[in-house]
Amino acid sequence: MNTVLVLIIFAILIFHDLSRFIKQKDPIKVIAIYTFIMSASLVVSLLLAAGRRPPGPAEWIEWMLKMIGVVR
Amino acid sequence: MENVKISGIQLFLLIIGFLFGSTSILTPVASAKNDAWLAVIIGGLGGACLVWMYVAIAVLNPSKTLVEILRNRFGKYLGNAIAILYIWYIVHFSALTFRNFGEFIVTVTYPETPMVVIIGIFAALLVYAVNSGIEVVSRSSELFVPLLFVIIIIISLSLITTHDFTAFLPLLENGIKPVLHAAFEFATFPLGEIFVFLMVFPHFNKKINNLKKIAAFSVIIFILLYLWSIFEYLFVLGKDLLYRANFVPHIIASLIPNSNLEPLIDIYLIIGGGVKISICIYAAAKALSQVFGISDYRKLVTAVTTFSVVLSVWVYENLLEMVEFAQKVWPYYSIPFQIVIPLILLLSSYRAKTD
Amino acid sequence: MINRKDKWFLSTAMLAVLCLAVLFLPGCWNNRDLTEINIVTALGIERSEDGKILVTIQVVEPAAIQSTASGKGKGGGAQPKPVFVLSYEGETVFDALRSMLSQVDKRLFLTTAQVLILGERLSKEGIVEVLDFFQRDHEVNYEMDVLIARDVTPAELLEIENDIDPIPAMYIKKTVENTVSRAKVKRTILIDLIKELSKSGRQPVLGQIAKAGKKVVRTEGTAAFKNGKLIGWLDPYATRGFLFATGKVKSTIVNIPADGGKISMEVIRSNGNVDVKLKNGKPVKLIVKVNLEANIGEYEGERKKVSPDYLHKLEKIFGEEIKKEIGRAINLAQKKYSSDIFGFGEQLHKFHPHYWKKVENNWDDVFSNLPAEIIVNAKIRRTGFIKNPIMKER
Repeated sequence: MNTVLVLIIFAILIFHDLSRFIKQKDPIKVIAIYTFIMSASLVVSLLLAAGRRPPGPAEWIEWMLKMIGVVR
Repeated sequence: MENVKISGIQLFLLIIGFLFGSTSILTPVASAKNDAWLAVIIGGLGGACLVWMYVAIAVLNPSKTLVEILRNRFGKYLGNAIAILYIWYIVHFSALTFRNFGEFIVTVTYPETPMVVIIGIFAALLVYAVNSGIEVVSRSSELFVPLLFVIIIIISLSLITTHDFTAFLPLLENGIKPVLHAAFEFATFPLGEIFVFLMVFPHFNKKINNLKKIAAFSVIIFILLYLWSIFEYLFVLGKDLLYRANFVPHIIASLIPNSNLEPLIDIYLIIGGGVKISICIYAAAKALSQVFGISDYRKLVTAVTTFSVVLSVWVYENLLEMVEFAQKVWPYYSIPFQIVIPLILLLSSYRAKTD
Repeated sequence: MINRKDKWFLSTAMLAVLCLAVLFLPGCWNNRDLTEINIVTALGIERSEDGKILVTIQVVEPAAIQSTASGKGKGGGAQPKPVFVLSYEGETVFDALRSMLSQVDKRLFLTTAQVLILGERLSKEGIVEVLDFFQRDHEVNYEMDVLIARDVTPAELLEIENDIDPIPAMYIKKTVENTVSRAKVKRTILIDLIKELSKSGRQPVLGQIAKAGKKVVRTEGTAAFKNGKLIGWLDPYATRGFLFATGKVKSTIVNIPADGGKISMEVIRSNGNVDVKLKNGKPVKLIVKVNLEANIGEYEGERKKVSPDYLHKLEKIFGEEIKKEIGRAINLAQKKYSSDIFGFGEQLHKFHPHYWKKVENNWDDVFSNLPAEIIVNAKIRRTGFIKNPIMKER
């Protein structure tokens, strides 16, 4: 259910924006960056929707700071 | 660059709205308990130095955005790399702000609404605002941010009878260390976050020297208002509840005698968040478009916002993680972005100028 | 530029969005109308014999109140009762409140609760634990009155149906609120209780409520706590002494003996504060200072003429009377309960934090053995419409 909702929302967003990009004949790098960010978001939200949360940036940063030894 | 101009008063209100962003719902200095006011003063001074540094960078590099300055100083490749780190940082902290407000609304008013729905609706509105341009954001801040002042004054006056004016005593009961830590926290959140305005300053329509005045004025006003609120929290709630409460301003609002104004006030408190997040999204999208040489930042706004919303849900599992992160990790995470790199930029810009 | 077709599309889209917004705007996800909730007006909490929590609610039926108000005198047979009272036992407060729904039809809405009555047994075992829910829950009103039921269970008090006010909770609340004009019970709202419980150097006190008859309650006297546990009671006069000392008296009537009769003094203004006097870094005595102004409210003595000199004499007697009441309260707190309800320790904590660190752990003992000095500065300002009692013309 959640997965379907996520897919629908992303489909609407991506369809809306990409059709605009193509109509306005934007350079390919716009589409590339856009697709990169959107697919990253899509992957994460699908994982979240499936209940399998990957370790988030807060954890990475905390881990990195712990490595340096700033945070105990 | 598109020819968008922001007037002095708009910039002033944008900065105030930005600074009140999450601080209007969270209390970053609460860990200092009844010395929180001292932390605000010390952290305010430190944060004011940071803001002075960003403004000095902007003055030394007139009508250049952060990305352009970075490229100028570090060369094309290193500059772009650092710019991308900055973009990550900005998106991250806009996500944190989304999360703060999501948690706030879910905790105080809509406990059964999924948080992502609230954040999503909020985000949709902000995408619209940012797509309309930074001018629209600043004009709406002209309309809304003054309400924040009114709210702060109204709340503190209506609670005048319940004040305990010695609540801030005894001084430095637990030593100076927690105070300094809280002060550091306060300097990096929210004052140090003003560096985002390096993406906005080029739109300022007056002489660049006026920028100093406006920035100084808005930071001073903010610190005084925040000091006022912290004293009010202490006088009304006492140190223990200030320390334990998740969202102090909501409790304060609910204590206004003979009225249930808190839903209204909660809505006003979101104004700052709106300003803050829309500036972050604007800055991130703008920086991204400049790094990759895209003419219009608007093309990337949806993508950046979507990522930010997803990140905001992803980043913490629970509310306590959020509080803990804001207190323990955020200040250190911010050091390179808010202090080290701007300092290098300032020194090298200064040298370039004098050479 | 936007051409006409786009414009048409845009306006249609806008209209659609607006129509959608109508669906969202009326309320939140968990929207509930007035007809779908039970309006809770009062809560009672007591610990049962086997250590469980017994929660009593008082729910008001708005329709019934309307019918009693308009239908009075018609003598209609079966009037619906304006309130109903229900108790339920649970492991925790929240558990009891939710499980209670097995006997109640609609969701319980707590924001409207005006009064929280804590039972005696519960208070003796400690109130800190049960108050957690009331701080945490988003529906609880931080401004509700908190009272301790004496010699009666909260459920019995909440069942009282009074003729003055159709809603018993409002009746109870009003009787507590009117302490501003009698000062015989301490009014404590939830937020103040929460604040006091966390303070070091001050023990909380709560107002006391008892059953005075089949249809009336009496809110008089005060319950003293020590470390979150009920330790004893202050009678109405000691309560007033306590309120004088802590500066919480707005107005009250103090009777003093004079001229073979009695005089009722109406206190109109009063402020009091407590302090600890230190000598060489050690506390030597407790100081209570009270300044107050009063009018002669009723004179039943034998004197025929009231002169300024006489008023000064009365001020002395009046001051002594108040001193007695304050002394009584301090004596109870020191000798009987050994609990610093006045907040002398808080003063030390605030103004002499170094000394406080040393004494914090055995402050109650130190406090109990300190002499107290009470300074009352009473002024009699006015005598009402008349100066003297009736004099036979000579």
